Amino acid sequence: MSAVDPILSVKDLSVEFPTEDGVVKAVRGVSFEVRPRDVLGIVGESGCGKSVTSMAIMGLLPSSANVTGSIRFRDQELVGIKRKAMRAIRGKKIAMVFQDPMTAMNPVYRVGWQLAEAVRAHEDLNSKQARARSIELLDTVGIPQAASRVDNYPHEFSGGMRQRAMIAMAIANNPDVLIADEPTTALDVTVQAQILEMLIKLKDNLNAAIILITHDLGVVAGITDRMLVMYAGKVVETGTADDIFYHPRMPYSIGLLGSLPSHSGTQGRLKPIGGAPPSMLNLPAGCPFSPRCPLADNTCETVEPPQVEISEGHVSACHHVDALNAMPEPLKLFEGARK
Amino acid sequence: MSISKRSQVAALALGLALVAGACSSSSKTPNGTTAPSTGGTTGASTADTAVAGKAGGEAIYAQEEEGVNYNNSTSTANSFANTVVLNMLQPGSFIIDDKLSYVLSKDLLQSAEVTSSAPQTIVYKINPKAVWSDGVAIDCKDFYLAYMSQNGKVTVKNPDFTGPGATDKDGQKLPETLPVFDAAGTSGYEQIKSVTCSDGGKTVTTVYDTPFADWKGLFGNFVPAHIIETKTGVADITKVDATTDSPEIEKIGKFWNTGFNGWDPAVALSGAQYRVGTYTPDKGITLVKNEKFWGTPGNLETLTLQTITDASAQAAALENGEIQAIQPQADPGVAATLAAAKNVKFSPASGLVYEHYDMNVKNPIFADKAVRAAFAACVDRQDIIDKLIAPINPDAKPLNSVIFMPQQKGYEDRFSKYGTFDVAASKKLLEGAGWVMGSDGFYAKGGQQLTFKISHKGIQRRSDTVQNTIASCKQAGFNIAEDSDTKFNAERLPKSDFDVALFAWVGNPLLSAATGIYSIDGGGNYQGYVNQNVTDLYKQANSELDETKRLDLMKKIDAAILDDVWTIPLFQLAEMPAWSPKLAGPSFNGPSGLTWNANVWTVS
Amino acid sequence: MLSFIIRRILVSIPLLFLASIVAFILVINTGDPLEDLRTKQPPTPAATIALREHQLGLDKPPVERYVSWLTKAIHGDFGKTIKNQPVWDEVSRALGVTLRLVLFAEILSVLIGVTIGVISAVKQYSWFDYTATTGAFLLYSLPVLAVGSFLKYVLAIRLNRWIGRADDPLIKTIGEGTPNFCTPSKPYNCGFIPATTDFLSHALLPTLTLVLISFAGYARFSRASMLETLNADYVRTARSKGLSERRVILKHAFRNALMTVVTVISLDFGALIGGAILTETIFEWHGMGRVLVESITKIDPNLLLCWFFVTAVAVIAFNLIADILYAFLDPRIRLD
Repeated sequence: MSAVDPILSVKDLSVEFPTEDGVVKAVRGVSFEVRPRDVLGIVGESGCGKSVTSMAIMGLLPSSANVTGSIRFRDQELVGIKRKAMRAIRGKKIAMVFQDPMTAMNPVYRVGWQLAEAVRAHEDLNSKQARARSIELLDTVGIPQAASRVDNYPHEFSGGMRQRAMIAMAIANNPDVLIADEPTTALDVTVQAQILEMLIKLKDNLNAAIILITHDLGVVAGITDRMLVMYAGKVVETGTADDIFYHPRMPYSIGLLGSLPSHSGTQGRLKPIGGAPPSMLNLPAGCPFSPRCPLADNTCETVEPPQVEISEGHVSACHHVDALNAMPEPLKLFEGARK
Repeated sequence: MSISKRSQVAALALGLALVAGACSSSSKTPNGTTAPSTGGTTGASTADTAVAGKAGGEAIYAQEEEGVNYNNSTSTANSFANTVVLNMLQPGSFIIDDKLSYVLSKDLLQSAEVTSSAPQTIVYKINPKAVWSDGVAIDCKDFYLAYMSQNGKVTVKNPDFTGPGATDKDGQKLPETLPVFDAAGTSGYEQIKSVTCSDGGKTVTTVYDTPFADWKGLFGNFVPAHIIETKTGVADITKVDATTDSPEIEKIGKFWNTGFNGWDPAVALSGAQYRVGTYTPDKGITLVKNEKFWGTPGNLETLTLQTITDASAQAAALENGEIQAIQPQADPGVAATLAAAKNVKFSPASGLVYEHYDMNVKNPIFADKAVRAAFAACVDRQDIIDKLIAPINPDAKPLNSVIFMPQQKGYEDRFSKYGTFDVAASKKLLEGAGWVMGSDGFYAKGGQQLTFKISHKGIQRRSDTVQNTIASCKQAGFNIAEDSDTKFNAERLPKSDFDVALFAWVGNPLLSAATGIYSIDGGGNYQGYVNQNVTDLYKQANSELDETKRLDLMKKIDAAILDDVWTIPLFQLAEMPAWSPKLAGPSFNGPSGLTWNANVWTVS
Repeated sequence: MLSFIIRRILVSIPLLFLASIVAFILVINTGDPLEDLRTKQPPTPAATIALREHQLGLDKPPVERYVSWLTKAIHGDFGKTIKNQPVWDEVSRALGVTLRLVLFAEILSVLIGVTIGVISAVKQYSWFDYTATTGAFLLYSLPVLAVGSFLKYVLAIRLNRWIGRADDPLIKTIGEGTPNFCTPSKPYNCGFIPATTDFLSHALLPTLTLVLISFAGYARFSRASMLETLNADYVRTARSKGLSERRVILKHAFRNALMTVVTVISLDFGALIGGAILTETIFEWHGMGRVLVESITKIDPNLLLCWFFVTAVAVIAFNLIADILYAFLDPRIRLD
């Protein structure tokens, strides 16, 4: 596994936003690596810092954001990189697919134009060549009659087609890393599967790594190699997909699994986690999940848990890993708590 | 900013005008006299002409409305704006000078004399050199046209008149006939029996049916009859009967009514110092020297009349050196600007418009002269002036006549004996008449409290005036209330619906002008004033052709009206002529406007 | 598109017709055009008043007056003013004056306003943004009269004196030209270049006034629009493509902000045809605004009706133009 060098490694990444009310610590010491053909899933509720992490990698955070730590793309450090140098990487080496295909494409330009723009931002093509490439890209992502569809406006595409077009735009320059931020959230279930399938296929063809960001564990199930579970700006658990799905050792991960239809147990009811994520302005002193955690005790409320390696590559940040290990059915943790 | 309407008073040569929209300080009486000439008796005698200037140069006079019509005798065109242009353009028999007296225009006439008083006969002898700017002589024809167009006798059938009892949309009876000429006024001309030409057209004899003392106000502005002949194909206008309908006269009427629109130099001929040079609608009219003028030419090379509606815009343009003379609507703010401006000569003056209180004869409270005199004594005229008029014109004084303006021959103080603020005297008058001061501080007599309302059309100055009087008369035991009503002048005044009315009249050089106001059942006698003596004196004066005797009669009328104390003259509104110090010559002239003597203006 | 335009024009006809009825009702209730003549003392001869009533049609019932006005107006005859001047001459002249004033000032206002708005939005919360936003707000709330008077005093009276041209002022405060500029005694003034110079010396202050009071509105509006589009997802997408910031702002954010800005501008334009009433009054430009003021103060029915008509046509036309422009700029809108 380590035979291949990582193409992107993030170490101790922290992002802070100064606001009028104080500093918002959006990301607090996140680290991970991806290698070619890897699929890394980052999961968590909205506001947990997963999108900020991806924007930090893309260098698209507002200039007010204070980014520390390290993001290395191959040999290049991206934290503190010159704007112009970043522009050469963005869209070329690292590309991104956004959540809502309804709004993520510019409504006033033809799809082909927008694709061509992406190509020509990094490659010296004339408009004819760029157009040909656009058609080819649309064809690649499975748009029928790409040659005529290329002249359509985004509003003339269906939601799924638009997301395909977005993906086409992202892969326009054969990127090494493809970040997909909730790529299927806005789509209906059958389309979701097609899009994911296509992403995986593309990854293999392009020899690229994919970072799949989602709040929905169902999406990542089965296609990710590794997963990060983020909570309150931190990675609270990381491991292989199997680790997280079958042996979660952090109550938050368990909670997320509980809100998944396929994991919702015999009673056929979803089990949402009670309470709401903490404000990133005033994080509690101890484990940020403690107010919502059935296992929380005094220690949890005062001491932030360290990262504990459970097995190789499976790391959890919980004071009660041992207790969870001892439990016969840790996945039913929340059912008990909700009585 | 004032975009308010300046009311135009069109009573052509005659008339004391009711200032209906009297938010304006200056309603003027267009008169259409010719320009004074330096060779004549007027114009050059004004104070500023002491400054020596040489001929040449250009000046712009700004006025708030654009004059658009050469024939100011039509009711459509008639406006002060036209008068200001015509002063330097059109010939006329007499000039109204800045003392409001009629002075023979020696450029046009050699003489104008009364040769008989029964029937009244006037003989005009026209200067043989007098010509229109196209070289055609100014002659009897032009007099005949003035008579024909303004005698009001030529009518045609009203096309809308379907038969007796035909009414318009408001149920008013439709007239059976309509006049051929759109004359703004017919006074005087309607009394003329004949206009006869002799001496090759250079002598004009007018004979009147009935005596008309203000005959000098007639034939004040001529439009060229020969142009109408050319335009209508009528060979000789003097051969056309001036009093009966005919195809010829209808053609003449049509052209007279509308043909002089828009300062066409080919039609709007000059018979004075300046002629029409260029006219650009909305931009201005530039008068240039009339090469054909036979008298002393004007000094300025050109005189331009520009339209600037807004008073403060006029002041700023004058201060900025863009224009040379203005006479904006009175406004304390603009007055302050003008007074403070470095390069502006500001000479505020008392205008012809004057405000007055009229008591209503129908209200029994005023039946006793003591009450009227007591009211006059508690009105603090000087204080009202100090507060309302002095900020514009520091020299303003109370007006003490209702017939004469202070600058006019015949003016004397005939009212101070009643109209000087004196609370003690006022109370004494009331107590002498049996009024008793009540515990509420107001007088009463026989259960009737001394209380009434003063009505006006709801403008600020009038409200301030009334409030001042309410306060000053309260000291004398009067309980007065203010009645402000925008429709007062238009609707209630003509119906005599008031206790005391506050409104304005406009002074007039013609002495007969106020006849209707003070005669029994006269038009304009809104207060219902009845004094047989005044009515008889007016009849006598208006047919008295001897000027000295007539002036004496008028003085008697003035004294008789004021001694009755039914009306209290208050003050004249201010006018604000101002000009560049580089300009010499302007002097205030109420009826004719600042350009009345523009021929003697000079620029340095 | 063409069928849309034709349809809209056809719809406009009854609209104009309705507008003319409303205008007519307003006009006949404005007052009595002959009030001055009636209140004269001594009275204007009754026969003369009857003649004028007949000429102006005041003795006819309103419906008959309206029909007669409409019949003539359809044939392009808008009648005469109460001073017997051809109404259309006056209005078309005023329209020209207003266009000369408004067109230039509006273009400048839009250019300045939009530029400032865009920069403000891009550099939100910078000192430029604070200065521009505060300044725009101040200017936006200043009365025209105050701006005009201040400019007259400082830029005309004081400046002319300071440069030694008090007698022959370089900067003018009134009118659209010097009335005695080109006279026989000054033939050297009668060319294109002197005439243009004269025009510019008159146009400077009113243009500046209009720009000062109206650019602020466009700045605020385009700043708001830009802030909205700058935060749009497609702008983030554009950035993620590695496009230059300049391209992101102009091609993506501004291009989308432009749609609303252009619509507002074209609607504004229609309204401006009615005249920049205050500016025209302060600087004595005899434009449409002046026609309105004059026709109301003088109670001039035909003039007022013609003003209403031209303004209504302009508003309807610019509404149509706004729609067409919007459709042109936004492919999601289809006009047929």
